[in-house]
Amino acid sequence: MGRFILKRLWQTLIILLLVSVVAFMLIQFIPGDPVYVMLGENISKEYHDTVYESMGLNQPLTTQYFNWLGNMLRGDMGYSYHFRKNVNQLIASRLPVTLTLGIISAVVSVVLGVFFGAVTAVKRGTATDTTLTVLANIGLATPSFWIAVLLVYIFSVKLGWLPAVGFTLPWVNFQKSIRQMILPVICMSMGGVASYTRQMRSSMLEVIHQDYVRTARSKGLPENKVIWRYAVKNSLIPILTMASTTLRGCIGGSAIIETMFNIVGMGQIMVIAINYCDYQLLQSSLFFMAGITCLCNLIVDIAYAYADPRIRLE
Amino acid sequence: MLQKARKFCTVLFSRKIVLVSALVILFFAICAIASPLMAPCDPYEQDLSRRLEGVSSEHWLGTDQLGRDLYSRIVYGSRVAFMVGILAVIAAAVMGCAIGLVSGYFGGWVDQVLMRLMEAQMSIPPLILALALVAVFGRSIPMLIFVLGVSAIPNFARMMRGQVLSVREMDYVAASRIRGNSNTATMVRHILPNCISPIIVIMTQSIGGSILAEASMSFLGAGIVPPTASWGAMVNDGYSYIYDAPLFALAPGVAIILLVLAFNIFGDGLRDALDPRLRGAL
Amino acid sequence: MGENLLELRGLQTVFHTREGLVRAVDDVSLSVQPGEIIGIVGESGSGKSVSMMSMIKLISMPPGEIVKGEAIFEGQDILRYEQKSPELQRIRGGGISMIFQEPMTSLNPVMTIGQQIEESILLHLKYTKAQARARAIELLGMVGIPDPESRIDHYPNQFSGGMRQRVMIAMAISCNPKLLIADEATTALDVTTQEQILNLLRDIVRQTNMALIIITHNLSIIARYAQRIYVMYAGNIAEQGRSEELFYHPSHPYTMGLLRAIPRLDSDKSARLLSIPGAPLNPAQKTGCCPFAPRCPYAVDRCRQPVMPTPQIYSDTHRAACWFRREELHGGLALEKAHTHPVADKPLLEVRQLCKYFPVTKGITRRKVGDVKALDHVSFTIRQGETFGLVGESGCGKTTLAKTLLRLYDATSGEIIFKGQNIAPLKERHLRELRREVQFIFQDPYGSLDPRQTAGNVVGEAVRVHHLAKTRKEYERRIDELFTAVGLDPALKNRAPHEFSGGQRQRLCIASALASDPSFIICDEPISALDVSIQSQILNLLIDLQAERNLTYLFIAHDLSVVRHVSDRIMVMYLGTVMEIAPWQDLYEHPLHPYTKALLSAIPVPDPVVEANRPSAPIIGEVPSLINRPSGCVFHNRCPYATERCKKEFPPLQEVNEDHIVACFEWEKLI
Repeated sequence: MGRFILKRLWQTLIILLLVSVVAFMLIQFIPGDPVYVMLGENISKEYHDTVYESMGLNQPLTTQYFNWLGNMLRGDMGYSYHFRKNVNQLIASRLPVTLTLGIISAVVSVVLGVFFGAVTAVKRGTATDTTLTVLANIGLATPSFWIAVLLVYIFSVKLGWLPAVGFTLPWVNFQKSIRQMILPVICMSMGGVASYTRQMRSSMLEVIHQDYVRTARSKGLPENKVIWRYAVKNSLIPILTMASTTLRGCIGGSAIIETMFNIVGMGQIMVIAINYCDYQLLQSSLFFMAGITCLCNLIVDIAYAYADPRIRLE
Repeated sequence: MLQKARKFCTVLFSRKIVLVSALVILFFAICAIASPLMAPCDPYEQDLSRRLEGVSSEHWLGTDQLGRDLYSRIVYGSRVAFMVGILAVIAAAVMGCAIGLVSGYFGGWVDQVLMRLMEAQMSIPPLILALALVAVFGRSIPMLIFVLGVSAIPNFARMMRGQVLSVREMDYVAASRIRGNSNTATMVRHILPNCISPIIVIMTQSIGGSILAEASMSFLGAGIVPPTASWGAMVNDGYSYIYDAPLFALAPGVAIILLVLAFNIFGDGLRDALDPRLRGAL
Repeated sequence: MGENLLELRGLQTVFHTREGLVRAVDDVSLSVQPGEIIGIVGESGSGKSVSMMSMIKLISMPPGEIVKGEAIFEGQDILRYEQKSPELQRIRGGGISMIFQEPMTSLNPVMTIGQQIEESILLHLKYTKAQARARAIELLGMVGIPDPESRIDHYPNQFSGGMRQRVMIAMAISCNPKLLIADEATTALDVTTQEQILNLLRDIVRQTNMALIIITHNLSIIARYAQRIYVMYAGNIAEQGRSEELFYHPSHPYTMGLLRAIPRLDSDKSARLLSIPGAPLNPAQKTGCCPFAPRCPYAVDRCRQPVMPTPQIYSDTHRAACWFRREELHGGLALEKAHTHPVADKPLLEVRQLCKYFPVTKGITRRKVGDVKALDHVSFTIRQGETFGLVGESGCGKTTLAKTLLRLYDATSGEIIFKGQNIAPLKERHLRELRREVQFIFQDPYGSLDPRQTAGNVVGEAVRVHHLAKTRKEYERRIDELFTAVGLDPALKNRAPHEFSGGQRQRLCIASALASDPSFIICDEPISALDVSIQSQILNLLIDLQAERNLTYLFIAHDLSVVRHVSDRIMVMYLGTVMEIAPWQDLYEHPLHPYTKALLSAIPVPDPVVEANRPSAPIIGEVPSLINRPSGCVFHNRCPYATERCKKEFPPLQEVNEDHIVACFEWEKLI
């Protein structure tokens, strides 16, 4: 087990190194002078030169890269010219927002998806199964921004029950936070619920036909115990590998949902950084988010190994 | 051969829903190919005096913020959806399969490097990656296809690698070498053909996702350049007028859902028809 | 006769499938008494497992449906109960237990074996958790798991196949069931392990008065253990009777065919194996007549009418579902003389000190920490025109040897001299001639044919690769010839491999091996994946082809009776090393190595009287994994005669006489 963790840790480090190269090189491909692209053509030559130098653009590429990487490792993520703030400050204020939304959505996706998936598999062939499977297929085909439009139209415009914009952290104002979070969370978790339902269903159907489930039945285990203790538990193992994809999806999805509900989070920052070519903000936030995803992957892999003795005891 | 194709179609369409989804895809395909025939109005003709109108006999779904006919724009939007959706998947499949093939066949450090690279890419949310690539390389339809293709590479690479690894161990591959085939001949004649069918299934199933990705990009203003009609961009435009003309934002979305759903179901049908073992495990 | 424990009357199970109604079990009746061991024999699709599983409703319903029948178990009809009813759940595990074929997949991989056994105990017996655990430990000890106190907390993947099957047995008997059903419980195991497991089951039956039903395709196993036997074919019981009745007076043409189709350890080698033509009937194609009629050499018009034959009764216990009495069945099954093949004195292949090691790596730097010695200094000679048999259990290096000879693996050291040339160091591009001369027949006829090619293409590939046909016409003619040579209709050459049955597929494999006109063919377990009645067809085909085409075979198998039937000389391997090489008579009549002796005694003979009088010398333990290869003589830890010297030194191959070679220090004392 220790060796397994060590191996994954080593792989994660390599991945992060590769991500840092990709994030860094990406920016180099933007055509034109980066400072003019970032701050517009009508800035003074002196200002341009100061910024150019302070960003270290006059140094060779490799030096730039290692400086940036060194700064990142020391915890200095650079300066955002668009927001006129340190990237550290920006991320510190916005990460909690995105993480709160992301984690809640991911949990909702997993819990509901696994539940629906288990139900459809157990009730295979019945009306419940058909209805839920059809709904899951529709959910998978529906763009999150469209469902957002629909929900805003119904619950904000027509009924006026829920706010269409804004976000408050739960520990600031709990009630307001919940009201503001309902719609974004539904939009962000819809796709996840749908895909977990489908995955769980096929995983369960596969496990139900395994020999050890037959063994469980042959020793007289009541059906509900066969389902819960054998089928559901064993089906969850492959589902676990999906968990990291969900988080990645939630972060990617936050770009859209945060823009729509005007939530000041990481997704919005990244969209802005891309639209305004805010170099250091883009590099650093890409690297930072990739780092978080890698960390989650690592946790998921370890959990996976822990849940499955076939891997743990290899 | 013909008989085989017919038999295959019988199995494929034995479930009504697959047939229905094929018809939906066909309908949208006709819209895309013969847009001028299917659309009652010119999708680019503006009439600012008739902005944001509701449903009428002249404008079946009303008009947008520039007074253009919404229905016609949806019909024309299918062109972008199809072109980007399908070509991006083909681009992803070609690049991904090449990587997967090399990785699975050579193994060793080549495999290690390529797979870590794929994982590196997967640690960046695909939408963000696509946005960043568009910011770097600029906005145009070919670029959008390329960018969406690139962000879907890892799926294909990993799938192909797994296929190659499992097929490589099959007895018939050893048999081919024993018969005196060279490595290349074995690869071309026995390994590749046996890896293809799951790839085709994954491709069909990915088209839906690719259409969704295009819509999301266009929704965020990083996709199709206006005034070309794109469903995602239309939803975004309509969102600003949600109070006055809800249909403007909602109708293009229904088109997205229908087409994506049809592709997903058709893909599942194809998978079931190609792999009897999975039949019914939808 | 005492009271029946179980009486199955007129059971009929069908499956509703795409292809139509499959009558998997058709009017099956049988009975078992307490303490009795009965056997149900049949090929795949005969309904032997389905009938037992329908009894306790373990089949999935739908698509399965139990149409009619009664199963009286301890006086009550258990077929009345719903599939998920508590009554039936009490009987499953509590009254009737089952052990399944695949020990690797039959236990839940994420629960410890202790949890799984305790779960059973708590379900059926009023035990506390602590008592259940104590009982589980006791059971594990009873089924022969060493150190049960600590092993109880291990997961299934930490056990070998044989050990897992012991765990399954412990679980199955944990609640003192009255009836235990072993469904092909030893098929996936090595021969020596199989013997141990079956002996264990028999001992349990003797101690507890439990009844045991052994379901198997292997008639020989049944002869050793069962008191009464039911032979099933395509969902029907073809014949039933006491062991002696069935083996000495088989009365159904199918049983007669089967008995003469299997090679035995004591059979006359010069006689050709009798084979039942055709393939087992798919129950989906049943028409209501005697299902064996299409393959029966005695069938007359009456047999093809859609009426099941009324059984012929020979005694209280013995009956056969045939229109004829056995006295009326004669002719048609005459024994033929087997083809003989000349063996030259010239060696075709000489292997000297061949080693194949696979490196074991560790950690992220992939540091090499050791070797898995899959082949360790193997030497032997194969003469032109002979059949050289190779036997051994899993991990003995059979397949590694074949792949190294074929240069699919590179030898670590040693020489492979084929027709006077050492091929071991040759580069791939110099192997062209070898690729034409040496061919291979795989064990699994399903995996060795490319599913995306037509049968004709598969067979013709070698012809194309080696440019053996100049024109298209010549090519086609050659393929037709090859199809005919292996007994396939050339009209089938445009079909895909999956449209052929298992036996036909193996014929295709043989045809494609013959395509390049090789002189040497390596057959790796060519019949073990086939149904019993098909096996003899393929064996006969291989023997005929050898005589016709002057082929040399390396025949690899785990089944000693099959190897004996085809081979001139035989080599026994164990964990990558040669144990003994001898002409077949010598090996079977005067085995020298303790391992050979153990292997021979583990093979049952389909003859209850012979079985009863054979000395049984079961060896202990299981084949260790190659990673934990014992030092010195690799067999020393299982050998009853091992000395201190055996633990330290590796015994060299010693020549006993000209042809008989053995690797044992003690062989002279053991004669």
